[in-house]
Amino acid sequence: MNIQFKKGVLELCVLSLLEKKDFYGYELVEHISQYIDISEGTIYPLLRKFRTEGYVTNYLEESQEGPPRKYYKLTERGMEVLEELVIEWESFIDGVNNILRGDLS
Amino acid sequence: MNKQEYLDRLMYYLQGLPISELEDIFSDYEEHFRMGISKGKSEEEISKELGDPMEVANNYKTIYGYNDTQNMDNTNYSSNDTKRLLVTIGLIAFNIIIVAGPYLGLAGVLLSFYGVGISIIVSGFVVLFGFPISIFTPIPTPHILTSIAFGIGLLALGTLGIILSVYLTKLLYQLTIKYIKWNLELINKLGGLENEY
Repeated sequence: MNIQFKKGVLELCVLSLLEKKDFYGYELVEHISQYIDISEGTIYPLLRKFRTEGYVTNYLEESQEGPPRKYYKLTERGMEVLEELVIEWESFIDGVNNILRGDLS
Repeated sequence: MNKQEYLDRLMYYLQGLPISELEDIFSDYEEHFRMGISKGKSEEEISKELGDPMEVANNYKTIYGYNDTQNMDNTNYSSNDTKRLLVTIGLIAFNIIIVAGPYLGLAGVLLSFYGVGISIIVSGFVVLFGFPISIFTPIPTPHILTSIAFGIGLLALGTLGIILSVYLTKLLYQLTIKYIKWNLELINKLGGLENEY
């Protein structure tokens, strides 16, 4: 699949997951790659980008095994961006589906 | 690729980013490997799932505006520019002082080869037809067969000389092009464009 397209979709997925709960990096990667075939290494740069753009914030939390984990939390700005992306995604999918169904009207 | 190799490569491709960012990124991937291993995956498996370190690095660089050479060039434009200028001036001086003399000498020798070749061919014609020397100077004309044989020999020799000169010219031309290319590469390399990826 087209890399740029995949990147866009990945952004949507990450934001959407973070809306439901806070994730730490590995957990997020694991969850997404369960459903979509991705290069897992691309999620971390994405999370970093979200942080520099203020869509997410970080906090550390102790874990039973190993060192504390870095959790990601969606900000309000992130929430807004997610809403926009969801609208874009839905209209895109509708458009594609219309074409696939072959309505030429 | 094992964990060490993967992290080494990733860090290599991330050169140029601030140290604090590198440390942060490094710890993210270290953590990723640790988690993966604790879930029973091999280091090689995890590396493969993470994908090409260069691509991952490029993803980071996009965020910091280091993505392409253009951007790289813009971020430290002034320092690169001065460096390039210095290297260029140095090369020009080197070329004028050291390279130009021998080079022109070589070109001169080549030119004289052409001259020699052409004069041998001309003399071949002269001997072949015994003209115009026999008209103006009262020298004894050799036997006609001697003239023909000697003339053809000279013509062949002259042609060979010209062919050789053309070949040498081509060689010199190629060397010149290579040398110029090498010069340009040197300017780019020493001028600070070596990090382009």
